Amino acid sequence: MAASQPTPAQKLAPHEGRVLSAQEVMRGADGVLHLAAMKCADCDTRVFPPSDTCPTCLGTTVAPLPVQGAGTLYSYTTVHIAPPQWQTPYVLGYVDFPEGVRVFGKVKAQPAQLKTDLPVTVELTEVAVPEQGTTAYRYCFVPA
Amino acid sequence: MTANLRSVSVIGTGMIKFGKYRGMPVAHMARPAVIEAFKEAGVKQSQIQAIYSGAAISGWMAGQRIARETGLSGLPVINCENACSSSATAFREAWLAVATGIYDFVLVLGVEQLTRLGGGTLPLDAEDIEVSNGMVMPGLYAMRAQRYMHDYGATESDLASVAVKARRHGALNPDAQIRTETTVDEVLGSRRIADPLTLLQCCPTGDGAAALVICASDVAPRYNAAPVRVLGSHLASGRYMTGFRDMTIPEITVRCSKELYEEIGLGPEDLDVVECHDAFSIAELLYYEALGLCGRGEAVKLLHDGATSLGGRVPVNPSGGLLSKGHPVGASGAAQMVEVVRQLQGRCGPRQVVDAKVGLTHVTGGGTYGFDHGACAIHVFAR
Repeated sequence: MAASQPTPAQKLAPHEGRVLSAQEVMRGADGVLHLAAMKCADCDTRVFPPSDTCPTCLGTTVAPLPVQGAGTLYSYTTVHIAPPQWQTPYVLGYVDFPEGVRVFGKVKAQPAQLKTDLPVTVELTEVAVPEQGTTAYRYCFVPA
Repeated sequence: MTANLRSVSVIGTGMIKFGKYRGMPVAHMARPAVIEAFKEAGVKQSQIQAIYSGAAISGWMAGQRIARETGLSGLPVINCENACSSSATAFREAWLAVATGIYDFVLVLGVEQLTRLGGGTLPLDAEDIEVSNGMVMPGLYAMRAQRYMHDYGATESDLASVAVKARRHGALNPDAQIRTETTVDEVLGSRRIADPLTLLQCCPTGDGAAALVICASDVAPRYNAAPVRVLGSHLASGRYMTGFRDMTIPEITVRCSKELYEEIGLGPEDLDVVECHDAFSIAELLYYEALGLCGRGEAVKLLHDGATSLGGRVPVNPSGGLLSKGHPVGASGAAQMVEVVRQLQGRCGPRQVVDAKVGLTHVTGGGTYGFDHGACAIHVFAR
């Protein structure tokens, strides 16, 4: 079999983040797709991304926890210098959600909108994964 | 814990001027530091029993490669990788080995060649969930800065003042990578890296090497007229925090310093000189508070009062720190120790801290998600 040509690296747009695994998204009771964190039934550790084993107590009685409310932007920065795969500038931030998890990601907002403790929500975007014949998702934060 | 251990002293120090040694074999770059440390220590190569070497990105077996070029091949070599704390971790392992009586004379190395990466931000592990979302080291510190400014009212000009102080000190250090002074305006006007941090608030990319020879304190005076004792050594790793946390409190440094102070019965008020991990301007302010040099939210005042400048109550980074001396990752811990040992020996010329008796070195770092930092190593030395 001939070796396939490597696909030239594509620059990711400023708001495009990591492609989520299937375990990192879930439908909430509202039927809407959300980020999926994890909650340990034994020690109540809550963590994003989820894992099948609790990183605190090693328990395996873990359940997915939808991250569905609006969070607050704990801190943020506009990055101007980054490795070549990133299109700069882009905005990064940590967001605290009522479910008790802090999630890191890119922020899609105008510079003037950015401020500490800004209410934000998660925006999920479909990404085609043709080689697997499936879709996956990226996420970023947008002002609520 | 230290009660049953032998006292250990530094009898030799060496370092090369930090800067760009692009293309030079790492071992050739490091050799002058080893030779200088040996000369100072007055020991023969045959007396050295082991080598503890710290490096992060300079290739496999940096210790053995340096041993090959310095007549030390064949000895046990322990290569340590702990990101920015690599050579401080190596020093700690060496100290433990001498303190417990396993070895009598040991060489500690710190070496790094960042120019082999070609510049820009440090390459972090692509498997990391934050790195794969665009995290870069300046971005992490920038978010700490943003929150600190929000919580405590610090300004961009306050941040810039840290770099101005670093460069003022570094201008007096012949081994510093950057030897010119700067101004708040120049710092703020430099290229934007990750808001609010500008280029001159970020440590430069560079190469470097540092070496120390240590031995049991009871024989140290036979080799060096002014040996410097290791009063304490502590290593901590990041605690995985899955929920909310205050990013203006560098948890790992707070814990590491507190445990060390308790262990040795000294506190921040006993320190005459400090070399801390000022990889970015905001870092130095956060570490003033974390190391207990001042209270929460008081770092800017401490800086502007001149307490941490040469001539102040507790000069911080008289070498110029990582911002001016440079930050060849794995070499930084050992280089801080070289500076503090020489300060305690009164050998630092125009940047000498007057009558320094007790000094502390602090490195931390390692960008990986869920931690304040991956590793932190703190050492206290006394003459």
